[in-house]
Amino acid sequence: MRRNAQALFGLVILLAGIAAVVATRDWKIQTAMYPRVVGIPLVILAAIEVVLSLRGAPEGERQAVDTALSETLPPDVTARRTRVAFTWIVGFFLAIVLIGFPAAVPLFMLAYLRGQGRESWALSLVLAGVAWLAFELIFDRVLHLPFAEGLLLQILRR
Amino acid sequence: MRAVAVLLLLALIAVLPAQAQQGAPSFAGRTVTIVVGYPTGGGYDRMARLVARHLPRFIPGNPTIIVQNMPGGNSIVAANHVYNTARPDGLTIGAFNRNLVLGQMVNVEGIRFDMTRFAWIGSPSAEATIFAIRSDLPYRTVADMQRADPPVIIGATGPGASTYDFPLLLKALLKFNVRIIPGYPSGTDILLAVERKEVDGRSGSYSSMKAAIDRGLIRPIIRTRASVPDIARLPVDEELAPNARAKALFALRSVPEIIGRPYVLPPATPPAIHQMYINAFGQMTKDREFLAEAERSAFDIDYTPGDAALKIVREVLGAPRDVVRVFTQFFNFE
Amino acid sequence: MLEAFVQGLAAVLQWNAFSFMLIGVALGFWVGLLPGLGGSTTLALLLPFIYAMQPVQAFAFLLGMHSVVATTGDITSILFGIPGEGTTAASILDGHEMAKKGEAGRALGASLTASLFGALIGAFALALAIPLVRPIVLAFGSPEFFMVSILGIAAIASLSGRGPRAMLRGFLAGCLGLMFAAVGSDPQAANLRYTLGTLYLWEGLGLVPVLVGFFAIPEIVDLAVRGSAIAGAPSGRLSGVLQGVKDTMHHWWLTIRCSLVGTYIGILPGLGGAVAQWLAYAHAVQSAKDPVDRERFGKGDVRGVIGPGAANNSKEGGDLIPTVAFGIPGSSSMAILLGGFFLVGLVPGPDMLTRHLAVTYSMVWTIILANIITVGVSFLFLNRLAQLTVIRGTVLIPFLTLLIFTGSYTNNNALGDLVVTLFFGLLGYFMLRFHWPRAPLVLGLVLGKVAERYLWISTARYGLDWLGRPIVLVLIALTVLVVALPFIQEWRARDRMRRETAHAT
Repeated sequence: MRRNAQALFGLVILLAGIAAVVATRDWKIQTAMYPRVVGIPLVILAAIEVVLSLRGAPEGERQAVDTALSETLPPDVTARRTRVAFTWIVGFFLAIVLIGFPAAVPLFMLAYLRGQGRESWALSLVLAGVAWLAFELIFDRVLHLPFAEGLLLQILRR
Repeated sequence: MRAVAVLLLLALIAVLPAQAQQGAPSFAGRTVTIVVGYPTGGGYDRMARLVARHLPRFIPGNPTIIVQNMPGGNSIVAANHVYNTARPDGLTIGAFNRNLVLGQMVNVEGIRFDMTRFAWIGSPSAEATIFAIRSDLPYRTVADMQRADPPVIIGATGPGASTYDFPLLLKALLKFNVRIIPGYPSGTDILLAVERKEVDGRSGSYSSMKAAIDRGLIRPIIRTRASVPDIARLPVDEELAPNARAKALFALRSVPEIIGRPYVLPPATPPAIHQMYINAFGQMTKDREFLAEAERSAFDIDYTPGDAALKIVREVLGAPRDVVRVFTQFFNFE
Repeated sequence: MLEAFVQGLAAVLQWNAFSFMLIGVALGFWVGLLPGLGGSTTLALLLPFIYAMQPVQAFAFLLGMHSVVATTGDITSILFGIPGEGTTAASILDGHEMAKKGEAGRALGASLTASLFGALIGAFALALAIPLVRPIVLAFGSPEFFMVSILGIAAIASLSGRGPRAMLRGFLAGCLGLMFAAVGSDPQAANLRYTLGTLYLWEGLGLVPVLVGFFAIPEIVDLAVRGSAIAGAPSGRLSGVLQGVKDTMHHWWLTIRCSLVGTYIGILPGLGGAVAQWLAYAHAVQSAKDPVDRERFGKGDVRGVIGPGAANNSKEGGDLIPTVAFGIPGSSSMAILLGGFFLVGLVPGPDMLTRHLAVTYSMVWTIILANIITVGVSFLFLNRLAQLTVIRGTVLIPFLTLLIFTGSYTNNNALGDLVVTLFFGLLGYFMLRFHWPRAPLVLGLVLGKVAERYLWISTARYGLDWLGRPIVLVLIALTVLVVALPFIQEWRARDRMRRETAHAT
């Protein structure tokens, strides 16, 4: 199972690499040279990685110079919590798209603290308020960032 | 219940524009936003922040003016926003890339605006382009450049920038003997390359090269139509053009420079508000305090009002087809 | 010259210059802590305030702010795994790992001490380099820039890990990063590559949205999975600040070397802090005694905190050198600072090294004093800050997510920033899950365009003759060494093991 997932990830990179190299076919040489020089080794290395993953080649010490995800919990719990976490993050993004950044901030804070964190209403409201206030002060009042209106409002106005 | 909501909404929509149209506009207590098509720190941004500090004094009601940066697509993103999304209530001003009009002329993908339909406020300054070479080279005149041997090496950023297309035109139309090496990340990097004698010169806006000229690193040879007093005596590309088409090509490239820092309002802005901004810019660009700060920021102020700017835009977009076709070989907006 | 050096100090210590510096430092403190909100944007926002100031006051204000953002940026990186600045992402790998082990205090102590030393060394390099600065900068042409970028990319070899499989994945990740660098308009013909029909990608991938997603999202997901506080381990060693200080002192030679790496990268225009930190990190990894020692990196090794911590502060002094001496800014921040020179009536260039030498030295002193103050103040709060890592994850996660999204959004002020962050968040997560090292991808991303650009220029200008330039030859030799080093170490370790087993039998 794990081996297949690993091969699949390599395969996605491989296909993306092939697509990127193929995309250069009609480009002028000044534009195409660099992506080809980089893309071809990328494709070759990715192909080797996929083959090794499929054959279940031993990983050796499996030591990347990087941090590692924690593996202390049972795999099914890990998988479920991972999906939930990504859902919240993507959900926040969708909320920003739909109702705009300023409104999405307190909504997300409140929803997460109360819904996911099971914090008390009081604490959730206070923390969401604090986050919203800091957001408004720094990004709106001081920095004047342009925040696009939410998609819903745009549709409603039409 | 729903009917009431719809009615309320309709009433709200009806009231909003009505408010904006009422007689002489006063902006007391309002906030005006200048949307700049580039990130903080560049020339367009610095000019916008200068304007934002001084313009309120010349607008009835002295509103607060803030600057928002909306970079992307060489400021197409910002122009699309001001054209399509911003309300024409005088509370949003756009400040864009001067070459957007050329982008529209060559039909760049992603453009969702028509430059002629903006309510033009005009441009507070022109940006003269010059061509300059290292002072220790023996060439001083246009004729010297044509005879130069070996070719003079010119560093450039890339197509679409004045560091690149101006020397390219000089080479093609005035037979300058130059070799152009593109790829430098910015104009200042080219100056460093000049300093270490990797290249012999560059072109670009006068304001970006003034310091290097003043300290004797480079010497200007030729300029374009837009000008500032310091370099008025340099030869002008169009006047040396060997034929009508060459002249038209030079003109097409340099005309947008007269509106060096374009400022516009969304299309269909009420005439009263539009005129009020033109007047305010006119007063501001004559104001002593403003001029003093502009000079310290290395901006040469020379206001081109809205109607004159619009005329220039029309002139560019009305260029003959065959000239445009040749021009696209020299120009790349992306 | 010594006179000007003292005059510079006296000028900064005057009460009005000093108070402007304090305001600048206070601002920089927060700008550094907040992800996304970067030093260069803030410089641009502060520029209008200096119209009425004297030169020394203006630079005390601007540099006071700018020279401390990397110091406090490290704090965010270490505590939360979110890069506080684009220039402090490398501190996450080991720094945040230490925080997870409950050693936040120690990591912060080490990082701040390294930052201070870095800033001092960078500032002194600036002071010492002043008489030599022109030849140093002018010796570096396009061919040398190209080779430096290749040397940087070669560091992938030591950032990959141990064994052939890790190497394969390291180089794969590096190629992927180099490929991401191709997004946007190409430097030669200005044609668009891989923009997927959007205007957003015309200028290429923004470093901040990429880094924030790439490093912070996997950390947040992992935090949610663990269901605990950041510091999972019992928090007995939470403080340990002094231990961190001692660590940096103990690795003093590494601190100095990484500071010099940072200064040197700072001097070279166009490479900047994003590169300096990773090269310093790679250098710290390279300095590991053997493959086993090398494996400690990424698992919370204090040397992985010290290296980038020192480099991202020492680059400040180096960064100023081409700006002051030639009026040629080495980074976007310095381009804005250049505007500041004109505003206060100074022309950067040779004059700054003669007539206005005292002003130049006042900048050196500003960097030194601002960092001493910031590090001092930070130490007062370190234990408080370290306590943040024992807050329960469910309370912290929404705040961190908010920081990630706002930090990313400040790059282009566009929803596209958020999409990039999400994309790299997913990519980073899967790379971690399947043990692909992430650092090579970042190196590829930050160096790809530099390499492409200067290879074209070098070849167009010199044909193939550039390969024979002396500095290029030295850099080629160094590159070979950097690539070969991990293999040599591996081979020697194996050799030793064989001999030991032979002895035993």
